[in-house]
Amino acid sequence: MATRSIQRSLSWWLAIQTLCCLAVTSAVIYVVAHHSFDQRQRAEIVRHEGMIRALYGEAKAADNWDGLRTELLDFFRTHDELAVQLRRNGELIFAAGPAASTGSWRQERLMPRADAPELELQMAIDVGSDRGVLRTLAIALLIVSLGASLVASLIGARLVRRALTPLRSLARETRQVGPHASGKRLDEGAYGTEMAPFVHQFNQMLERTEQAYQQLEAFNADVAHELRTPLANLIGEAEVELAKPRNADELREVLLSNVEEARRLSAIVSDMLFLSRADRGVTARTEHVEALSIPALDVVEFHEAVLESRGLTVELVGDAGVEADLGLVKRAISNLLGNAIQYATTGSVIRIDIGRRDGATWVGISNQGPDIPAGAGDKLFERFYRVDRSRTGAHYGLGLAIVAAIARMHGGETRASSCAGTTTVAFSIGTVAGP
Amino acid sequence: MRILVVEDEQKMGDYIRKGLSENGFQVDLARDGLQGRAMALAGEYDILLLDVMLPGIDGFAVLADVRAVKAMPVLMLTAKDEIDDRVRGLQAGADDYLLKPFAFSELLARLHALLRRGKLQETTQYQLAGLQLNLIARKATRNGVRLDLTAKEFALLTLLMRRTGQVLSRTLLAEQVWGMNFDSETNVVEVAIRRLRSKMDEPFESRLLHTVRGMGYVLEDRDT
Repeated sequence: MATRSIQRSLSWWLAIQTLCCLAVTSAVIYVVAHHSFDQRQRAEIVRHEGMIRALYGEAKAADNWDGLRTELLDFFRTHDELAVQLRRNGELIFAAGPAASTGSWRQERLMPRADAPELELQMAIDVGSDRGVLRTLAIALLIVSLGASLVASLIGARLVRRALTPLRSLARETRQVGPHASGKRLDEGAYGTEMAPFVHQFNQMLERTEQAYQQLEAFNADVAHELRTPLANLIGEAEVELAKPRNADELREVLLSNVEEARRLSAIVSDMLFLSRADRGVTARTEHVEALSIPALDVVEFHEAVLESRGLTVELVGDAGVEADLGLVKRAISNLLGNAIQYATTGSVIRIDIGRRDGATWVGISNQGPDIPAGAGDKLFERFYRVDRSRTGAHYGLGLAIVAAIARMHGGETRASSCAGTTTVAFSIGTVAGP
Repeated sequence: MRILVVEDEQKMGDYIRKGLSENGFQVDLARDGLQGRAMALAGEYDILLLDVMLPGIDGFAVLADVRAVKAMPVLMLTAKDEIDDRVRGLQAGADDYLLKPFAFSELLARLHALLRRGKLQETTQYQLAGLQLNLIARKATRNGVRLDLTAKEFALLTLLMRRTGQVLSRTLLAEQVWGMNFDSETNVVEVAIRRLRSKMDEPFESRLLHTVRGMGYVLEDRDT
């Protein structure tokens, strides 16, 4: 679709609207004027008819026809805008003015009346001046309409242009914000109330973009950092061992160590690929899971040996059916349970809560143990975040990020809370449109 | 056991050939799709190992042409972690699917599993150096002493017994025994193996369940 200019179309509409209004007004004025002239002409004819009939009545009574003629002649000498023909029993007894109703004359045929049925009266009135006035009026109205429309549309165009100024300055401002100008926002109050929601939305979008941008940069740095350690180990170890002649056992040791490091790298890369897929907005392939308690119990069984070795027991509360990817749900529960086991006080109870809340299905896992430091709640789900930065080993801090990604893939979210020795980490499964 | 490997990546092709040869396979290696297809159609192989991303024609095309004529099992390799790819491969007639990077032990285990598939019904009794397993009675004994195993431990031991002498990775064990289709960051499998070992190995003289560092676990009698 071609882009339309708001300014041009608004100006056009204003001009057309002005023209239409003025045209209608002018037409009404003209019709009303025409009508009132018409009324006045009729009234004039009727008035004179009355007078002629009265004179005729007097002449008839006195049988003085010459007197009537003289009087009428006197009268019509001073009224040349009128024409009349008087017939008595078909015989013309008086005529004044032009006989035919030609040119600017308007003729009225008057009906015979009962008091003088022999009288036949024809009258006409000169409407030339009235028509002249109407013509002048029509021309004046036309000129005024067109002129006023032109002026109105010019002014309208200026007004529209002025009204759209905020849009132009907004475009100018917008050019200056973005991820490269971090923290800069548009002034929501500066562009009129109509624009405020748009500006607000734009600012929010900017906020999200900026967050994503920063996250990406931090993520890249984290990835590089996380990969650097195993890579350094791989290269360093190999170089040191190759520098001197070694026997087979020594070399075997190095190879084993290298395999371990490479596995670690491989696991990090796989997990990151998984996370990036979730970031791209890939949704889970869902199937109907009758009862979440079944995969939950599977996961508990998976961790059974570790639970036993730490003297931990698991209590499963509640149940719910969901539409979800079973494999992913197991993975999320397994990560949460692994996390809970790691921080649980030996011999305590880990509680798995399944239930519906706020239109979503929540799976929460609580353990007894040290509280999460205040403010760390949301960060727990960030990639490579560790409560204890110095901790090393098989864990590289993607477990909860993966839980969050799985929740997102199911249209859900994650929550973490910690209070008085009980830490709860939960994820939800919402409703996702199938792929 | 004849296997055709279609893999264009130089290093990977080389080590797969070496590794499989050392594990009793007769290996032929094709370095691109066209050569792979020609060899697969001409030769007699027990199994086909096929990379998806190949020069010439890709793995899916090779698979389609081979499947039109032959029914040998096919294991596909891919670097792409796309579920659609996996689904596409399986729909096109691949028997299994392995994601790069993979552990060699994993590859070996899957190849063996595919080769075994469709064979005569497996035995219900296993025996290895005094360790006896009865699948029907769900009973495990060693030197006549009954082992008190949980259901999962029994499943774990059964898998290790069935694949005696093969190294099984943690990932494979998690998948086959517990149905967990993902790599766990935790040491869950390690602990489960340790517990199983404490029941079936430690009370006795010789050890049967061995850890192969960096690879996984193997059940074998190393004393004889």
